[in-house]
Amino acid sequence: MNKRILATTVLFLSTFAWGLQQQGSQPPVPPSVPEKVGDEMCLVCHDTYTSVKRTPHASVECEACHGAGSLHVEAGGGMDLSFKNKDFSWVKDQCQDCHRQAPHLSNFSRSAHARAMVSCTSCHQAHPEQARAGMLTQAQKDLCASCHQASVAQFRKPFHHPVMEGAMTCSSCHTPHSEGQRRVAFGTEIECASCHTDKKGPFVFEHASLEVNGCEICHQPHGSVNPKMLTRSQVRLVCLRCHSASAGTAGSQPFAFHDLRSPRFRECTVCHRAIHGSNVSSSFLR
Amino acid sequence: MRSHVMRSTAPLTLLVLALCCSVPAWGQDKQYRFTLDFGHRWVFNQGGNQDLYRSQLDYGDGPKLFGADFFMAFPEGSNRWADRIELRMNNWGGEPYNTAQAVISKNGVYELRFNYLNAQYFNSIPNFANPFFEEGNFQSQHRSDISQRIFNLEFTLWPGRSLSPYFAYNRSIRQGPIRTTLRNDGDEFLIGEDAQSSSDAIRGGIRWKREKFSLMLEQGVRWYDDKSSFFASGFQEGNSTRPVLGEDLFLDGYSGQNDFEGTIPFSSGIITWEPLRQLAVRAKVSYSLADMDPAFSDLASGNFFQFPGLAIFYNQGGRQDLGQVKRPSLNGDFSAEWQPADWLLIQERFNIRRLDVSGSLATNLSFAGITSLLGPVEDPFNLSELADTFLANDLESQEIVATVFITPRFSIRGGHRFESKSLILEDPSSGTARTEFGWDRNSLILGGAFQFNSANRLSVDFELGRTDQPPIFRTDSVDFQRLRILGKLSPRPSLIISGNASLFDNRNDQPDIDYEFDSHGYGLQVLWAPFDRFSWTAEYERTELNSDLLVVIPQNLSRVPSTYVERGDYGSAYLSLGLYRNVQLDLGYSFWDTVGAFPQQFHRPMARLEVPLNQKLATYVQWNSYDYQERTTLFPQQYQAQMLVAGFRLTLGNGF
Repeated sequence: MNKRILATTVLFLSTFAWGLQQQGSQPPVPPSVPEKVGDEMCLVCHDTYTSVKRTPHASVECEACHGAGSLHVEAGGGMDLSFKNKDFSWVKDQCQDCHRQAPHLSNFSRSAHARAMVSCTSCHQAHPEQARAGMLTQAQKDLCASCHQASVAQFRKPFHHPVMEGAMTCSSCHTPHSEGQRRVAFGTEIECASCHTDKKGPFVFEHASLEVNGCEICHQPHGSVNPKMLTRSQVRLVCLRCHSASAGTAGSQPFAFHDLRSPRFRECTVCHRAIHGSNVSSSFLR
Repeated sequence: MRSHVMRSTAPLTLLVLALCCSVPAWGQDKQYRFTLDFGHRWVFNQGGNQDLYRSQLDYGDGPKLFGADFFMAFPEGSNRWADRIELRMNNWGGEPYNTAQAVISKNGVYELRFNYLNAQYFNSIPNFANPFFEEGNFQSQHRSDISQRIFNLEFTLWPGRSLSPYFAYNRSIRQGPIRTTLRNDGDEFLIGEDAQSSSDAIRGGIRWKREKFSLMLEQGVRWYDDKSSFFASGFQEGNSTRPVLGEDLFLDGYSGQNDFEGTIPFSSGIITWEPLRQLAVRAKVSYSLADMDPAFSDLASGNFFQFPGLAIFYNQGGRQDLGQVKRPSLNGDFSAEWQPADWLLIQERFNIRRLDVSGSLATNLSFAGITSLLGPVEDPFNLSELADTFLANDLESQEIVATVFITPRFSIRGGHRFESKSLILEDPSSGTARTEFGWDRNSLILGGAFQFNSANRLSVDFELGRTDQPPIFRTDSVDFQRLRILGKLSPRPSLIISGNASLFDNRNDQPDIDYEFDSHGYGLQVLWAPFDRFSWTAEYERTELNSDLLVVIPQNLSRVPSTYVERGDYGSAYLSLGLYRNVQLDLGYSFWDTVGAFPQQFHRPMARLEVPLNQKLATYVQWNSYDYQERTTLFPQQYQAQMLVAGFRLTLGNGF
């Protein structure tokens, strides 16, 4: 592990050094203060961007995002007002001028996407060529897949949530603009509850590990090679992770004397069928 | 279902063909787009275990509406009622998942969103919950064929404006037949369940934003209702055929009924405030109080054994349960972000989660046809029990992270997280006295990101967590290292290379646990599109999971290591090639190859040929093959299926 960490760190720093070398000089500071010219002037040249008028940005002036354009017009064009190739912080600040106060976007700076310098325009198009939900640059599953290939591979496992089939999207469960990256269904209930309503209780007899550690303690939510998307190939291997005698840990008492060599006792959920919690049986028998 | 879908899609298809011949004269200012993807699927060469096939894929043959997409947009203000109308339908016609979405909005006035999902969930896995698998019986004792339908409706008034109220309704219905098990005093029997549960939630709130301040308040309530019934008829020996003290146990009749009702009111509030340009604070608080009134009753007849406790055989047993359970739950998240200079960002976050569950249950057990082993027992005999349970779970975490922007495109960060977790369990009725568990953990947070340009970047996240306290659960992450690297590089416009690596190691050295867990994953993806109508994508992912943990063998109380190994390789390659006259050929192949505890292979080749007939209509033929093979030594299961789809894709309109 340590050698791997060292190797990846060296690789990381080397790439940084190379990247720094590749980085060109910053654009020169304009000699004078530009003034606004209005949308009509912008559309004289940029007539392909009339599509913005059919988006939620319809009422936003071009120069509200791109900045005043008089110098750009005088110079006959140029990339100085374009969002392309602008750094993460610049793009984020421009978009957050308006979107900062949207409650679901207000935590973006603490999100994993912000930490990784994924700027707004990496995923969204302010004036899209094709109408898409959320003004995304691609269909959501393709967009997320372009960085999160490991998740795509998980969704291709034999037992998986139907994201690639189109029944769900990544944002059904995840919040890309927020710390924690988990959507909340109802108040304090996590998103799993919006579909799996029968698993969330509350129950008279709660399965404590589910309440404390969440569904992922037993299941792999993207996909698994194991039945029921379990973290282990057989039920008893999942259960024994907690339910074996160890001093001072939850779940190790009372001790069960099942003969695990018998197939009857290897499939714990044959008897303990209400394993997500029960209103009748303290050992989840029904 | 299939005939219903045919009935509903046939007129739609005719309508679309008619539209294809005579497109209405739309003004230059209005735009619309309509696409329809429909065809017929043939499934052939099906082999292997069909339960497994249905549990994983469940694609059927017949006419299908694969997708319908309607979009209409009006320039702002030109239509009194709407600026945008979007309707989408996917996978109708007996498919395992049907979806429909609609969005209707008028800029700054309202937005209405509707989502519908119908998931036909079939699950019957031969080796799951099947104590007879090793005898060659492939019938899982847990089988479900249920329909889960979910509706979501959300209406927002004055979206984007300073004050915006909203209202939402969510309904989820779960129903269908289930085969499950009844454990009844020393034996298990197969029973049927008719699942009938529903959840309805309404919520409403306001979003209010000013230049440096915003507030969101939400109030809602969810109702849960479960009226599932259970049944069995006829003679069953059960999973154990071994006589108990000379008597055979059997079930010859069973009926049961759930009657759960619950109400879960919930409230949320979010406040953001920027008192200074360099300082932003945010607070979010959510609270819910779930209140469930469970009731259950059942009656079983046969011959059963009750031990320990009464030490009786009996022919008829029943129970009635009445209970109540409450779960108050509070989540709070407070964060502050301070940027004293362009190159420095300091973020502080405090998070709490408190959850209590207190339950009580009154049970009446009845027994008749009694044969007692330890002395005379009244026949029939009734027994009343009371149970009170309590669970409390608290989690607090505090995190401070400093990010240094060495350049606007290059940042490094470091920080510290403190977490405190506790669990209290109390179940006096089952002999569990009040027990308390807890640990405090400190974690080091390191990371960095480099943005080559707007599309390419490299990011690294590393966490190192330690505690000297025992875990709450044996496999808790009390001593862990986590590393994740994601990178994307495009050295030229036609070439995109993406890579990822993730490592998660967790240790617990407590002598009676000795847990070691390593999960590693590596992946590389290459997309190459050197010409306008040629692209090639290849991806490879490798995952490795190793777990060692001491478990106790109950029969001799010895401790032995339980080892679990799972190594998987995923690969895919797709070629997209433009042929003569815009004919498009796609070829692809993907596989999962897993070795370890549950070795298996899953191969999925595909080919697709799409021929444009004119600018509006294209026809296509697609072939998919699925080949799933388990490589276990004992009764490996497999299935194969080939599918051919012939369809049309119609695109009308002048929309962007």
